[in-house]
Amino acid sequence: MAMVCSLFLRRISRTERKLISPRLYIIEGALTVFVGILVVLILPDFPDTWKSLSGPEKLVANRRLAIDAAEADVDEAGGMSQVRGMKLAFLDPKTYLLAIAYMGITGAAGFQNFFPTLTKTLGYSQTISLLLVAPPYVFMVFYSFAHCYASDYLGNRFWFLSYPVFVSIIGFVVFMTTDSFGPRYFSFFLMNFVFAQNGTIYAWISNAIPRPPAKRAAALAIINSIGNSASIWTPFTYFPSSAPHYQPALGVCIGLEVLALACFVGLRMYLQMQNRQLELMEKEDAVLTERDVKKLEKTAEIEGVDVRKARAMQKGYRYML
Amino acid sequence: MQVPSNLLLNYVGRPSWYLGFFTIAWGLVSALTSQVTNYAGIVAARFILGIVEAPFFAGVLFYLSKWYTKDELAKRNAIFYSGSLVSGAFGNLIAAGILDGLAGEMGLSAWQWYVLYFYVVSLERKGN
Repeated sequence: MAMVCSLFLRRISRTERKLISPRLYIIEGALTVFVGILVVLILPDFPDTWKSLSGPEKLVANRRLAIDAAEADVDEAGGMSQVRGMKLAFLDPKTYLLAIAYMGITGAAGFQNFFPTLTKTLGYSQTISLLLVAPPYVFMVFYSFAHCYASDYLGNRFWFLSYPVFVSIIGFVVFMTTDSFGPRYFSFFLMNFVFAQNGTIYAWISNAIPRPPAKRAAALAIINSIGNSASIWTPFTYFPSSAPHYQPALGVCIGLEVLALACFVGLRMYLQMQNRQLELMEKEDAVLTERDVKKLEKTAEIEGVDVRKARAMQKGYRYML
Repeated sequence: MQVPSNLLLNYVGRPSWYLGFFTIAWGLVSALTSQVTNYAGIVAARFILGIVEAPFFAGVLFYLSKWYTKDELAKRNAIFYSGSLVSGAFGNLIAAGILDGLAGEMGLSAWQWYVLYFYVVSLERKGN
């Protein structure tokens, strides 16, 4: 669509543009609102709240999620469970490990703002220069699908978050140390591996902090806010005087990716520890509190099994590494 | 901002209305930002935009996690995030096309068109 727009704008004369421009503005403004209206009309609500689901469909949708984490994906009744979820999210070290890791990823992604500057150095027209920005992204769209598909298929997050660290660092180093266009352009394909990490880390957040849903909702919001805060300061590290290699800024990117890697390692170790604890608790039959029993009954009901079976499934649960 | 928003989304349980409403508000605020003529106005508009766009990104991540199990989730997140990659690929191109031809049109200067453009299509750019 972008290309069509650009070519379109180039082909029409200036007077015609006078006519087309308000139209373009109206089309774009209306498009966002239109998408919003579509969301209101056709977006399904949650499995437990969507009214269009038939009885059996609802059962299946909720059961899938309950079996997935060995616990029903519903909060205890009342607004206080939301506050409790928030507290739980703030008190969980996993939230902070993931937040710092995500901050590293977002911070390291700052290089993308300087991509058009590089393609301009080739001396082509503006449209061609900007078109050259697209291939590394288009490549990454397809690559990230394959990457996340494999991550899901193999049931692993840690390695799928870790190897892009090394690929992107090679990209940063190539950009910092070479002068000819070829290697520098190629380095963008490697740096873009930072974006393969996004889909994977979003999934790992939900996998590592699965229940109750209020805790997961709060954790996703906390991690996203802290993570995005990196893009407030990283642009300032691209000192104009450090062009064209931007060594200070890309050095920061490398540092941030290493920081993220440290958090991945930390989170993996923490989850391994929690998995060991789960294993230990399986052996001895811990006494359940009243709250635990209530939760278990709810889970059993949604999973469509009896309480004893639900308890057994709960015991078999392990975090995804 | 995002934390209470996501908890509210979870509590109310109606993402169609919640995400839809904020998307519509986002589009409207974006378009109206082009009518701003001074610095204070930009700050105010940016502030309001921040409020209406805050629920979106984290809200969608939570939404996807409500429907997909753990071995389905990374794929879905990747598809969602690819929207941001596509805008990275072609965003500058469209901006250039607009800036090239629109300076001075409709009584808006180039920077106003620039602001208008970025805010109107900000939906594509999401949380980043």
